[in-house]
This record gives sequence, C-alpha cells and structure tokens, in this order.
Amino acid sequence: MRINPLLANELRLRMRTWRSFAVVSLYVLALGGFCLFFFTTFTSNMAYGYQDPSYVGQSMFYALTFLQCGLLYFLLPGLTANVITQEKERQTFDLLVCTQLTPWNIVLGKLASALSTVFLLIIASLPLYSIVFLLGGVSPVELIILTAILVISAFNYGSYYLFLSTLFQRSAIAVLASYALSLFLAGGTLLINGLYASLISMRGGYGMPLYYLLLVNPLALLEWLFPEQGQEIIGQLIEMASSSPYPATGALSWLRFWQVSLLVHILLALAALWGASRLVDPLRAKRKKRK
Amino acid sequence: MITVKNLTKRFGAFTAVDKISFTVSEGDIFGFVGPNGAGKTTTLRILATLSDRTAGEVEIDGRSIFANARQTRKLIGYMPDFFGVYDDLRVNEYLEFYGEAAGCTLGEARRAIPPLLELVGLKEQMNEFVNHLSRGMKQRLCLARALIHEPQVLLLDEPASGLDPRARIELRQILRELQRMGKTIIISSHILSELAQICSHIGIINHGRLPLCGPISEVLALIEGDALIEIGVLEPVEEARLWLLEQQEIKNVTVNHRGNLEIVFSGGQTDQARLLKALTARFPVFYFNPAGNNLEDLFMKITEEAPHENQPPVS
Repeated sequence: MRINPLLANELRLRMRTWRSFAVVSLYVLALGGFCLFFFTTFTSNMAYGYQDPSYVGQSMFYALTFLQCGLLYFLLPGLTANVITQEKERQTFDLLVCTQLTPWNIVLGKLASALSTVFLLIIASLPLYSIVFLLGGVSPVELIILTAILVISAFNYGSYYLFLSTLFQRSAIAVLASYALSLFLAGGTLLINGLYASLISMRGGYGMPLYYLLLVNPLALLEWLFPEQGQEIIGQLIEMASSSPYPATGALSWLRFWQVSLLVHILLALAALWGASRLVDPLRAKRKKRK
Repeated sequence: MITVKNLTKRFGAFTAVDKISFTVSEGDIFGFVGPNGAGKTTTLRILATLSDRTAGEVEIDGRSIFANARQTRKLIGYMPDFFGVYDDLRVNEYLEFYGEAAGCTLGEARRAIPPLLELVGLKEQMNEFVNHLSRGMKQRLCLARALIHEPQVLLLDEPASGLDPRARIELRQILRELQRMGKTIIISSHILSELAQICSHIGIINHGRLPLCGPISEVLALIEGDALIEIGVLEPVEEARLWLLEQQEIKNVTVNHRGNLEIVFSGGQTDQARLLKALTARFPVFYFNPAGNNLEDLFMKITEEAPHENQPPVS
C-alpha cells in the first residue's frame, strides 16, 4: 500500500522541528505533574486514616480524563486549523494542487498529519494510566472507551478546523476562527441553553427547549464513558425540555444521547471534509461560484 | 499542440484576460511578454488548471484541459513566479516529495533526481537544506521540481525575475537544453530582450489582450521598422535637425528634454550604421543611442495601431 506522499512529507517536516517535541514533553509533564500531585496527596492522606484505593483510583481517572480532554480540546485548533493556510502562506498550495494528488488526498493527508500529533499525545499519556490501575477501581474497558472518545473527537473537531483552514488565507485568522468555534461548541451551547431557560423561567415557564444544541457539545460524548452520571444529567435536561423520560421507552429504549451526538458529529465532520475538498479544488470551487 | 481560443477571465467587473487566442506547436518556446498586470500570470494559471476560465477553451493535443484537469496536470510542469519551497527539507527530499505527488513511485523519483539536478546545475547541493540555497539555486530547484514527472509542456512564469545576469544566462542555457529535449515551453516575462534570445514565438499581452503574436523574427522585424534613436550633437543642433529631416529613413525629428535629438528611424541596423557615419562626418556627435526594442516602445507602437482589437497572428 502506498502512503499518501503529503502525509509522509508532513510527518518528516513536523518531526524536524522542536515544536513537536516541546508539545509532547509539556503535555506529558502537565499530566504527569498532575498524577504526582494526586498520588502524593493520596499517600499523605493515608496517614490520617484508611482510604479505599479503588475510590482514589476512580477519582484520579475522572480527573485525568477531564484534564486530558480539556488539554486536547485546547490544543486541537492550534494543530489543525493552520494545515492548509500554512501551505498558502508558504506558497506551496498551488504546487500541491498541480500534482496528481486529488482534493481528497490533500484534505485527508493534511488531516492525518495534524491528527498524528494528537495520537502521539494520546499514546504518550497512556503509561500515566498505569498509576490508576495500580490503585484499582477502573477497568481496562473504560480506558479503551476513553481512548476511542479522544480519537473520534480529534477526527471530528479536526475536520471542522481543517474546513476553516481551507476557507481562510491566513493561519492567524483560521486559528482564531477555530478557537471561536471550539469555544462556542463547549461553552456557547451551554450558555445559550442557560440563558434561554432563564428567559423562559422569568416569563413563568419552565424547561430547556434548546437542549438538542447540546448534541454538538464535546461533553455529550462523555456519557459513553460515565453512563450513570451522564444519564442522570441528560435525563434531567430532557425532562425539563419535553417532560419525556430518558432513556426513552419502547422501540428507542436502546438509544442514548451520546450515540446521537456521535452520529451528528460524524455527519458534520464528513460534511466539513467534503466542503474542504471542494474548496481545495480550484476548478470546482470557481465553477460553483460561476453558477 | 496547445490551442487557446478566445480565453477570457473576469474577476467581478475586471477583465484580466480578454478573448485571447494563440497556438503553440510542439517543441516551440513561446514567450509571453507584457507589463505587470497585463494578464500573463492569470493566463498561465488557467493553462496550469489552477484557475477556471470565464469563457473560451484551452486544448492540449486536441483535448480540453478543463475536461480532465488531473490528466492535464500529468502533461504540465508549472513553475510560478514564486519559489514555493519547504525550507526544512533537503533538495533531494523536496524533489522526492513532488515526484511522488506527481504520480511517480519513490524509486522512479529517486532515479530521476540526479540527472535533473545535473541539468539545472544543483548536483553538488543534492543533500543541502533548501533554506541554505541562494535565490538563483532555489529558482533552478523549482525548475527541477516542474520537470520531475517528465512533463511535455512547461509553463514558466517569470522564471528569471530577481536573478543576477549570470543566473539569467544559465537559465537561458537550461531552457535551450530543454527545447532540444523536445519540451514545449511557455514562458512569461516583462523584458522582451530576455525572451527574444530564446523564444521561437512571442505573444505581446497588454490589458488582458493579445494584440500581437507570431514568430519572434517577424515580431522583431515589425519593431525594428520604427526604432527610436537619441542623438546628442554639439552646436549647431538646429542645423543637424534639418539635415536629419532630409534623410530618407527618418520619419520625424524632435528635441527631447535633455536637448538631444530624437529620431524615428525606419531602417535596419545597416542603415543605422550608415546614418551614424554620415552624421559624424558633418556634425560633432557625442551620443548615439538606439533605444532598442524595449517593451515600452513596442507597447507604444502596438497600442497606437490596435488599441481595441485582438489581432490574428502575424503569420
């Protein structure tokens, strides 16, 4: 099988700069420092009485999960939003288009190269979870689900930011727009829901009718990893919004909020990649404009 | 081999290329001359399938380049008017990457690199990082990149811009070698004299139109018909002016802002030599400068003759 030349070239270029090593080192240092702090606090607390290690292990897993999700979510726009704009700024974009690489080759090669750094960060963090297993309270399946969530989310959000990268000419603007989008998805959806619910309650009503906006919120997928807590929170939201039970009864009893969220994200990501591939092809993009 | 028919490109209300038509035969070097903003780069970008046309058609070997852009890109080697290099790559890695991207296997690309670097004179720099190369070297590397997949057609947009005289001469030699290898080349420049030395055909583009196009010898003959010559004569200037007006090949004589005489001369180089000899025999001449076939003169002439018409090729 032939490796996409763009991916091979990008990996070579990325590994030649100090930036990649700095990002991985800082990332592992941040997570490692957090683990060390947590572990030290736990052992010092042991002096004052017995604490169930599996409870501590579980708490550490939760904390590590949220920290890692947050860090990756914060890093992702910076890693993916400039992949196409950099080619434009370096004036190599036209030269790529002039080759035998199809628009999909260019888009997927660029996405894969950007995500390779994210995957490297995920893999580099895995040994830290051995401390969690040392304490117990967490099963390997949960770690596999966490890794799947991180990988799928990186693909989804990376696709959105890559689309923005094809849309803009300058990296700074593309990165800024991507951070704005990430902020909207994580905080904006919650804020809009909160404000709308307050508005309704001020008028004497009760509910959260825009709860479906939370399908694009990155936290929705965490219900997969923490089904009990997720079910409780989402159940309250849905009850407020439509007075319906969650999970639903009858034929849709198997359907969970995170599954719909995952489907929506994957469809949006595929649409973003399709859009990016259209924008990368100069003839197709112009023809569309002309129509 | 390459046929351009009524090619038009508009950006909103602005018409960058306006119904231009020309043909380039296999093995020709076609020079595209025009001032900045004339439409050279836009035309070359359309030919390189990097931009769509508003109207018209471009065919290579009878097939529309827009029908299957990917197939067209196999036939074309495009060198834009900027470098477009990855500074953190070595010369051979850069060419390997573009070779693979152009559809070659890694092995094919690796085999093609040494003779290519020899052709462009970069064999010694094969393992150097691109950011260590000089401007001229980067320009030659870009030419090697455009050639890595052995295209039949080369589109070179201002390849000599920013090069020193030595590098320009070297580039001319490389282009002649490529012509010997059977490549069809379209090259753009705003310096006519630069193209006159290597091109077999030439097209003059101005304001998106192509008022003159044809074999270089015929185009230059048209220009040579009315050369502008500046002559510096010590007193008596008026007497010299009257004498010049009586000469057969001189259409007009004026005095310019430096106090020198400017004549519109319709003869060739032999006639110029005869005129100079006769002039120096009668007057103390301290300056005799044929303005040459520079672009400015050419455009003056062309725009005066056909400001709104897209003339057919002279031959």
